[in-house]
Amino acid sequence: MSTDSLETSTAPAAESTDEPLLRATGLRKYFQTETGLLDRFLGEPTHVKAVDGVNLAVGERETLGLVGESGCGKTTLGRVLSRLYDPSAGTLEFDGEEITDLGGDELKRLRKRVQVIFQDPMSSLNPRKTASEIVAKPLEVHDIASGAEKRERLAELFDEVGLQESHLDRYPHEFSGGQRQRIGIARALAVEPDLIIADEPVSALDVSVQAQIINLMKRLQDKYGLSYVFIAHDLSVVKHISDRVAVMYLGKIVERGRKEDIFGNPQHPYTRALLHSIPRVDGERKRHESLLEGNPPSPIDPPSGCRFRTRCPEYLGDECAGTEPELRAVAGESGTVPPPERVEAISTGGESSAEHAIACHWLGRSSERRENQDPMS
Amino acid sequence: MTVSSRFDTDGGRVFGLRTDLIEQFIGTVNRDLKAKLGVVIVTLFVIAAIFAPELAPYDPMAQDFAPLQAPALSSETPLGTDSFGRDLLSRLMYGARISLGVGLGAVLFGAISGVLLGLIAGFYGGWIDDLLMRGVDVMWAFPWLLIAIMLVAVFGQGVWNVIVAVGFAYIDDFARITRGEVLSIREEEYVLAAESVGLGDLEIVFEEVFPNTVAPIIVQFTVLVARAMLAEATLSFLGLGVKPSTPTWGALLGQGRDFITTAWWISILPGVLIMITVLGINLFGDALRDAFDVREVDSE
Repeated sequence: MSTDSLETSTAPAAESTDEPLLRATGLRKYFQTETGLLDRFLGEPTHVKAVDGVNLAVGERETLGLVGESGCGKTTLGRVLSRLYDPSAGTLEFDGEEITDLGGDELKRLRKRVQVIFQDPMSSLNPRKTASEIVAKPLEVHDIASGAEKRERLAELFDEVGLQESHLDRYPHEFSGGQRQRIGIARALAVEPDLIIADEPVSALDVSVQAQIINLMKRLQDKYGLSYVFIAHDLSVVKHISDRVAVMYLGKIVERGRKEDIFGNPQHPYTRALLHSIPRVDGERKRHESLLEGNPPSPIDPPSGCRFRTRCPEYLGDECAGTEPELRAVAGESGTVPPPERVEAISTGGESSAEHAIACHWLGRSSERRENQDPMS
Repeated sequence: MTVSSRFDTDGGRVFGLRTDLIEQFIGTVNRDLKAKLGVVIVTLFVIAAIFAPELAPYDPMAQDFAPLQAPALSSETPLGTDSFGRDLLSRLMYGARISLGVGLGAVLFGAISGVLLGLIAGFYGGWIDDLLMRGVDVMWAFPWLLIAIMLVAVFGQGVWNVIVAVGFAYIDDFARITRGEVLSIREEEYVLAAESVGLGDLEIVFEEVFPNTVAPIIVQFTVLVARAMLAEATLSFLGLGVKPSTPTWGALLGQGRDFITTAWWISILPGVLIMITVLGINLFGDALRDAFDVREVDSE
């Protein structure tokens, strides 16, 4: 790996858990863009850098919330973490063993321990299979149960996720969105995994149903000691369920920390803008103009320096276009600001935990100057 | 015990088809007059073909020159005889066996080969896709009649050779349709979900992908059965089909051509039968598609 590795400079912001269940180091996933025959021979291949150097760790019985706008690469990251996609570079460790290049039977064994819940509860269930056929599949594939035992286990699983026995022989289109997602959860739960990667599991659901699904996932976590990587495009969704939060922008993690750090003391301009734009419950004040304009730039050719500089409400100056900022610990550094006024702060006493880190050029510069030009205060 | 039957995930299948789909098909037929017509026509012709030996009044090969003197249409031979004094009704019934058999067989041959190619090409993509689909393009570039003539010339006349010769031309249709469906289904999350559960490639292709491609394949199948019957007729008309004395609708049509001014029915009747069968099969196919297409149910 080249010198832009985040490893060396992030020592103070090392991931929390001593022996995490899942650890990703320098993870990258590039997709070659679709090219014609002629381009393939003549032109230089272009790549979509969907995930571009991500380090993260998920501890046992812990939930990591992964947040970012559409197109920031969070779904791709989730799929690489679950080994549905092969990483282009970097390493993945699960339970102390490297799983980056696993294949065949070893990969199948990993699938028993790492499961996935998908975003679209309609698209993630085969329309031609009944609910019981869908949930029974993992039991069959991994030889967990068959015959009477399988039927018993199915009834148990359905009960666990809040579905009824009478639902077993129905087809996906006969269920509501929330029920379908419960089937998806039952499928993931069937093999009794240690880690579940949940890719925007509630984004497609009504708000009232969202809460039910999140509560269900939380209860299952407590009961089975599960770890989650919970992907969402909305910070308010992960607030309830996460222990740690990582904020992603254009293939990179720009801020990470304990939940209290992110919600009580956000420091990256992107996180702050995201929190600022969450509509508040007290209907009095109108919804703020979002400070984030337009769409993220193309991940084929990200901006030089800081990737966020083109949309940053707290643009610092030429530094931002120069070098790419690296994730550095926030604790004890200057260049920090109080949380934006609209944030319903989780009290942290303004102290960052040791793992709270951001990738921003403001860090180490004048806090006073940043406060003076803060558009969110 | 009612509980066990409700849990019985492997049950409820007849010949590998889920009983609820069969029920759906029956429902469609009951509702839709066109579907009913299709089913009646297809059933009638299939019965006539299967039971031709029992139903036909005469041996289709038996020649009897006596009636030639008499008017062709008589109470003994309701549809008359051909120039060799063979009973036309019997020949038409026997002809249904070859025409329907070759039609179904040829398309089945094309469908199995083409669907397999399309599944592999669409699922794996990359150079495998390029290789297979460019090969299919080459097949597409040849006129089917040329290929058929070539195959018959090389392997000789006969039912099986005609089936292969006609079906060969349909491989590319099925391959292209299947590949297109697979490309869109591969993006569905349930395919990823199957992978995340730990299913192997083969299981994913045949359990998750293939069942969701069948609707357009069935439609194509029925359209092509009709076309294959016409193709068989063409080959027989040209004298390239099965043995000349064997009755097939195409051959009858061709043989009657010489008498079109004096005994028009010898040519017209097999032609009309071909037309009705083609219509019936198409209606039947529409009904099948309506019954099997879960996506139409969803959109309601």
